[in-house]
Amino acid sequence: MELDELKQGWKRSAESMQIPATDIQSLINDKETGPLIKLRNRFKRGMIIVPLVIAIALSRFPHHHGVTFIILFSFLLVFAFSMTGYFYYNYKLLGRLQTMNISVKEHLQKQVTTLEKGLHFRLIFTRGMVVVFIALVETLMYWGKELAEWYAEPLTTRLMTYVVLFAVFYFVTHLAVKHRYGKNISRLKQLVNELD
Amino acid sequence: MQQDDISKQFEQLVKDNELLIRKVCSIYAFPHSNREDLFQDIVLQLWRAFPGFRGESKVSTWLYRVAINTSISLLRRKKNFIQSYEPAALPANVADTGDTAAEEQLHQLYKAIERLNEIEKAVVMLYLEDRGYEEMEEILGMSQGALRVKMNRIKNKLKELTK
Repeated sequence: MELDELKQGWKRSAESMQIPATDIQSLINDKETGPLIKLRNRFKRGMIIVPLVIAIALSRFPHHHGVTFIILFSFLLVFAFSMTGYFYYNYKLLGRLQTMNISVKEHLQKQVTTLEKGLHFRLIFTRGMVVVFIALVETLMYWGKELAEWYAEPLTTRLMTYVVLFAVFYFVTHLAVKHRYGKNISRLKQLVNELD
Repeated sequence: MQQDDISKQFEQLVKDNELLIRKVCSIYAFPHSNREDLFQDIVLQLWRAFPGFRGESKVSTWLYRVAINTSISLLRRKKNFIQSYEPAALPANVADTGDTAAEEQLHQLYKAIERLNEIEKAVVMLYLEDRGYEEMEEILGMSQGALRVKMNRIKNKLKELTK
């Protein structure tokens, strides 16, 4: 049977299709529907919750505190700002993916670009956090006189350990991202090529 | 225009074109429960895109664009939607010709369509819907020449798959 002969069957099957009753009004009023919207809302909540938690924490801590506390708190602030920036960036990216009123080719190209950008940003963010953590440890030791045993080690040993730690983390994140998203991106690229 | 009027206008548009959206769902999502999820997602994306619709293209072109883009996006996110290789997951009411041999052939053809990728499925569906190459170009963003070549390739592929 040829595809042209299927046209009649296709039309017949469409005519006999049982259409379930759907309440369109309640559907469009439910703002939480749809995986993209749910994910976007999650990022939106993150953008609100993180600064809120920091503000509450700031108001509750005592005014007199030691060096260690100031160091830890400064890093927490840096982390919180970075997290908020991370949520905002993802929120914006997902917003771009929600434009569906464009041709399929354009939409797929947009998805590839957005996903690649998002992944690049995520990698920079997570790897940057490792650097922040290392800086935190060193600052705590130098100014806060914490972690005395580790501080007693020669600087070269510490530096080598940090380099190895960063290299392992770099490699692991690279593999994890490739495993989780690489296949999807290359499949999307393949689909874009099919539309050329 | 009041928000209420807009939503009523939109509801009417969806009702008038519900069959078109359902057909897109039937080509992309299996089993039936997933089709309903996909239908809801498409309606929601249409609603989001509705204020931007100026009537520069045909309503059907606009609807197909949003419906196909939503389907492909959802398929990428929910892997369980792709169960289309299972013969049991074929669309309901595949054919009701009364002729068992013809019915079986149709069944085979549907099974073969299920094995096509997302783009090929879109091309086949638009072809079965008798959409012209010009409209297909607008929907898919593929040149008419490339579409003709693609259509021939798909026909040959389907022949191979139904052998």
